[in-house]
Amino acid sequence: MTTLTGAHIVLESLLAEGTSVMFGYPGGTVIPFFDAFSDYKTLHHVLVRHEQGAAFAADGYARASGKVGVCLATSGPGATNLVTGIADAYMDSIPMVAITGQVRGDMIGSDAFQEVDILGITLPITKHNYFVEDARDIPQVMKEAFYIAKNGRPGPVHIDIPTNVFKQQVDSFNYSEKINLPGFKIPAGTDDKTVTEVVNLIKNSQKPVIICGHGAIISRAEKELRELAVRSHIPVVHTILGKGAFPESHELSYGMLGMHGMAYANFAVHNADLVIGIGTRFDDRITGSLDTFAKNAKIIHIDIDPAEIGKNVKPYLPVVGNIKDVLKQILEVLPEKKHHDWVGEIEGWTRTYPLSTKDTHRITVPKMLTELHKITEGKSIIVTDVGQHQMWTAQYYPQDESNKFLTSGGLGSMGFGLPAAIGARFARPNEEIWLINGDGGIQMNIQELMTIVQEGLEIKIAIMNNGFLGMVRQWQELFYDKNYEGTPITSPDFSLIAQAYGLNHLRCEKPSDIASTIKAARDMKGTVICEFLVEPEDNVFPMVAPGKGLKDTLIGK
Amino acid sequence: MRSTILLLSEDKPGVLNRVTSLLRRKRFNIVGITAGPTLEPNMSRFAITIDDTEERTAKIIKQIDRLIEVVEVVEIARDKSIMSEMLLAKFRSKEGMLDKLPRCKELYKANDEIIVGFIGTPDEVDLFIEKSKPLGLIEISRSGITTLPL
Ligand SMILES: Cc1ncc(C[n+]2csc(CCOP(=O)(O)OP(=O)(O)O)c2C)c(N)n1
Repeated sequence: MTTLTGAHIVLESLLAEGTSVMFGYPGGTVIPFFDAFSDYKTLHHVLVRHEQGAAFAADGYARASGKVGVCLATSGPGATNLVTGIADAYMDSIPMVAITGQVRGDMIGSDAFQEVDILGITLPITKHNYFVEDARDIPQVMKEAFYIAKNGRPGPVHIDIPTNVFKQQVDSFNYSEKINLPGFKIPAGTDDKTVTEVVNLIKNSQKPVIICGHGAIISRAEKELRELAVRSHIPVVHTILGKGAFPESHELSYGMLGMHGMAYANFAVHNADLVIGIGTRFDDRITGSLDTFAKNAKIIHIDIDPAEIGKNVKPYLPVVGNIKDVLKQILEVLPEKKHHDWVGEIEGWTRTYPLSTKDTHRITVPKMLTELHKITEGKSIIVTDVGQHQMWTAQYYPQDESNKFLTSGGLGSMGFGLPAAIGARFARPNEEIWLINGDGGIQMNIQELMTIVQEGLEIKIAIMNNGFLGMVRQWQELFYDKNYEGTPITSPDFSLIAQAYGLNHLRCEKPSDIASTIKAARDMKGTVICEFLVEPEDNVFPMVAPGKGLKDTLIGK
Repeated sequence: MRSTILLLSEDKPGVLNRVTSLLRRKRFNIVGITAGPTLEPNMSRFAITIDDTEERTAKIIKQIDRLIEVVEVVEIARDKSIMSEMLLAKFRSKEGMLDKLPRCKELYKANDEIIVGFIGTPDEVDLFIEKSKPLGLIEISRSGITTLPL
C-alpha cells in the first residue's frame, strides 16, 4: 500500500466491520474507491448489472445472513438507481449500509454533471444518512453507520462521499472504538410491573392468539416464542415476514394471517379475547379494516420501536423492549395453562376452511409448490418476487426455520427476487436456494442473470409463467369487471434467454411432469431456469377484500 | 389542539430538515418553529408548534424521538411552561402612540416610521396586534413560539 486515501479508509472500515462481500457498480465519482480496492484481497465486490440489483442483493444478503448488507453506486443515476432497494430495506427493517459517490465537494450545488441531492432523496427512506466532508471523519461515520444499521430496530443507513474525499490523503487508519450517539436509544427488557400484567392477561384469557412478526426473528427470539406458546398453549399465526419464527409444522401453528392469510388464522384473530403482537407493525395487509380488527380482544403489543406501538392499532398493554429480553422476563414467571376448547375451535376452522385451489387440468402454482415442498422436505431457502406466486409460496411452502423465506413484505417491490437470491447465495453458499418468480417479476431485473454467470452461482429459478401480471389481473377480475388492461404480459423465449446467458433451462407444461422437472433441476449443476406454464387465470385465496375485515375472509372463487 | 413540542438535539447540519421533512411526511402543518443553541455545547433546542389531535401529536413525538440526533423530545403543557413569542411591528409613526402600546420597546425610528418590539405569550401578541391596527400598523413579523418548561 503506497499512500492511504479516503477510499482505503472506507475499505479498512468495511474490513473492521467484518464485511466480506459487497454489491456495486462503478462510475466517475467512485473510480478512486475501485482503484484502492485492488489492495484488499479479502473483500469481494460483486458487479451487478443495475444498481437496483446491488441494493436488492445487499438486502437479500442481510436477510439470509443477519449481517449488514453493503452496496455501492456512483453519483447521480447510480445513486438514484439504488433508491428502490433502500426503501425496501427501510420498510422491512433490514440492516444495510449504502455508499454513494458524490461530485467534488467544491462543485456541490452547481448542478454538476451527475450531481443529485441523494441525501435529500434518501432522507425519508433511511434510518439515518451521512455526508462525509473530510476523509478523517470516515472511521467515525462508518462505525456509527454499521452500529445504527444493526442495532435496535435495524434499517438502512446511507453514506454520501464526494469523490475528492475518496482521494484525500490521510496519515493513518484508526478505527473508532467509541460511538457517540447520545440520541440513539436501544430498549432492552421491560419492567416487572408490565411483565406481571402480561402474565395476568394470559392467565385470564380463554382465547389467546400470538401474532408473530419479523421482530421475533430479528431479535432471535425463536426459542422463547416457542416456549411461550407451548407453556401457555397459545395458537400462533404469523405475518409474511414472521414466517419460520415458529415452526409451521408445530401443532399450535396456524399459518399466515392477513389479506391472503389462512382463513382459520384470520378467524382465530377475529374471535380471540387476547392478541399478543410480537414484533409486528400491525400493517394494513394483516389487519384488514381497523374498525373490526380483533374487536373482542385485549391487545398486547411487544416491539422494540416505541413509534410502532399505537401507530395502527391501539394496544391495551404496550410493551416496549427487545423481544427476546421481554419474552425471557415473561417466561420467568409464566405458569402452564391449557386452552383445549379454543384450540379445538380453531382446529374446526382448519377442517371447514382449508386452503383450496382451482380445479384444473393445468399446472397451478400451489401444485408446483406442494411438490417442491415434498421434494425439498421444506428445507430449501426460498426467495420470492412480488405477486400471486409470492402469496402462494407463503401459503404452500411451510417452513420450520427462520431466515429462510426472503420476500419483499412492506414495499412489495417487483424485481426483488433475482438480485435478492444472489445476495442470499453469498450469505449461504452451501444451502439449496429456490427463487420463485412471476413472468413479470423476472423480467424486471432479468439483467442480473449475467451477474449469476459472472460469479458462477447456483440458484434454482422457477418462473411461474401465467402470461399475466397475475396479482393485478386478479384484482381486475374481482373488482374491475375483468377489464384486463395493462396486465397481459408476453415473455421472451426463456430457453433462448437461458442459452444466451449460458444457463440450463427446463420447461414444464403438465402437472404430471412437475416432480420430474424439480428433480431434474436439483440434479443439474449450476443455475437452472425452470419455467412452469401455469393456469393463466387462477386466483389467490383466501382473500380479505380491500376495506373489509378479517371476519369477511373470502374462502374461494 | 395547539401544542408545542420541545426537542433537544445534537447540533449537526440537516437536523431541522429531518424534523420538518418528518412532519411533512406525516402530514402535519407547522404553526411555528424556533431553533437555537443551548448552554450545552453542540446541542440545539427546537420548539415546534403544531395544531393537531392529541393522538396524532403523541404519535409524532415518538416519530421525532426516532431521529438519531434527537436526544430528548417532550410535549410542553401550557400551564407548566413559559411560552413566549417576539413580535416586530412597523408603524407609520404618530405623536404619542407609544403611550397607547405598553410593554413594547422602540427599536428604530425614522421621520415617519417606527419599529417596535414586543415579547409576550402568543395570546398577548395577538392582542397587541389587534390594538395596534388602528394606530397605523403597516407590517409585522412574528418569531414563533419558544418555550422552557417550569
Ligand atoms: C416495482 C413494482 N411495480 C408494480 C407493482 C404492482 N404489482 C404487484 S403484483 C404485480 C404483478 C406481478 O406479476 P408477476 O410477476 O407475473 O407475478 P404473478 O402475480 O403473476 O405471480 C404488479 C404489477 C409492484 N408490486 N412493484
